Amino acid sequence: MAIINNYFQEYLKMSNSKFGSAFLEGIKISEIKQNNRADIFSIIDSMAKEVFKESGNKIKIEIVTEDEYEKQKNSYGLTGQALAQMTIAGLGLGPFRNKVFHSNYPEKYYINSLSNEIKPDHLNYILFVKNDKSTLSLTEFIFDPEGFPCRFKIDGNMVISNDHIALENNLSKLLASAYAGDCFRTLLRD
Amino acid sequence: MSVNDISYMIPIVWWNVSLSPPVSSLRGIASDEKINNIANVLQKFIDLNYALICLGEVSTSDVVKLSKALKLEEKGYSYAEGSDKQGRLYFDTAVFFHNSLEAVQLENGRFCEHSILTIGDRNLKIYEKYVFYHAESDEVLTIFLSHWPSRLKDNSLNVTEISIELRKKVHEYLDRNENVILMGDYNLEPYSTEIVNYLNTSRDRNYVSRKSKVLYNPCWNLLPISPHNTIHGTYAHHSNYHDWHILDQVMFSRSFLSEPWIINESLINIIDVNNLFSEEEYKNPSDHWPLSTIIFRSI
Repeated sequence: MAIINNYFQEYLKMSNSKFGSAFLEGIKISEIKQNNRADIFSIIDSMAKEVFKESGNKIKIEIVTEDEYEKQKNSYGLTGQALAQMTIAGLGLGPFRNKVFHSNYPEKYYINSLSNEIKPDHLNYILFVKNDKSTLSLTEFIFDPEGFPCRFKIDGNMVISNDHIALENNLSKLLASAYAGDCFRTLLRD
Repeated sequence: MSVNDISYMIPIVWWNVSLSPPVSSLRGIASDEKINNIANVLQKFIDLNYALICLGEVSTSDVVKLSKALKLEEKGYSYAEGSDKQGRLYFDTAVFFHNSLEAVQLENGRFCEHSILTIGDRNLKIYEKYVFYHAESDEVLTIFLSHWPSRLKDNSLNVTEISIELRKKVHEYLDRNENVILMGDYNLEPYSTEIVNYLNTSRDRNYVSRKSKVLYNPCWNLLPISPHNTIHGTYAHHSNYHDWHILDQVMFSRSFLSEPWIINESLINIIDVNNLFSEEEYKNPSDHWPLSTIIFRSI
């Protein structure tokens, strides 16, 4: 943060330069993005804890990148047809019996920009629910490059969340949707 | 391309019929008389072979009643409706379509898909999307219908957000050079900042032809007021100090501006509903006038 503050102390000197002000703007946006992403993951984390508790410690909610999801898919040898069913509409995806996807969420994806190993943040994620035996995808979850607005589908219709309160409201709607209810009941019966 | 080369024409009309305004107490309670009056006008559109009759401010029950009154099936028409309630938000469009077109089932399992932008506790409608397949020409038409917030309250910030989000969605289709039509009651003029800058539209078809991500808005041509025409817009608001008029609009993707498609600006008109009938005393049953357009396609 000290380095960033020093940059801003130089702001007046640089503000007349086209690229200097763009450079400072980039740093500012990066901070906003980092805070937004941390906020989004924190909301999902809170949601996951509440659902875990309400389900009698049976249902977990996790979020992984699409890339991670692809890796898991390949490692378990899912068919192309199964993947198509999965991604259509974000409606979710049919049961994946006895297949559990491991997520490094959330630290790996929003802290890495400040670690030694700098990687670009991912934008496309899969939000899914699981128990000890099965995994069911709830929806694709897409971040804006600045974090908010983020977007996902509820029963096939896109909802766009512009801020913290909006995301809490829309995740509640997602959990309360018929499809999510089907997923929960399936996992509770397992 | 000459007139002789034209193989197909797809007449389209958008009409905010004001049967179910977006207020809970006024949804689905339109009188039978008003339903019948609207149906009488829609029957004229069917007689005129409109292939797509897009309606605004309708509820599910309105659509069912209109369908029965018009005996749609017997006339070779079907309907797709997007009416839906999400919290306090009402989606309120429907499309009556000729059977030369096929409504495509969308990702949500219905024939209309919508999007919501949530800002804090406030939900805003972004669009209602319909997709139609025209088998004869093997073309797909994606239609985004919109009903944006009224100008009677200050909704400028919300409308800015809505227009930006709609543009993002439309650009997904423009990137693939797909056939996209936007229609609706935007409660804005064609020259408004939200329509021009945020939605990314232009009145210059030559410019749009060079820019894949700009929509063509021919409704600028409807702005001049003819002294012989008593209808100066698709909606009129009368106040103590002055009257103002506003235009519902239709906008096209670049794909429609070159062969095999033809759009003729002179065929984009506000329909004087009263002139469709011989009775001198006939009065438009809605507070909006329909907006008509025709797209042509060669082989």
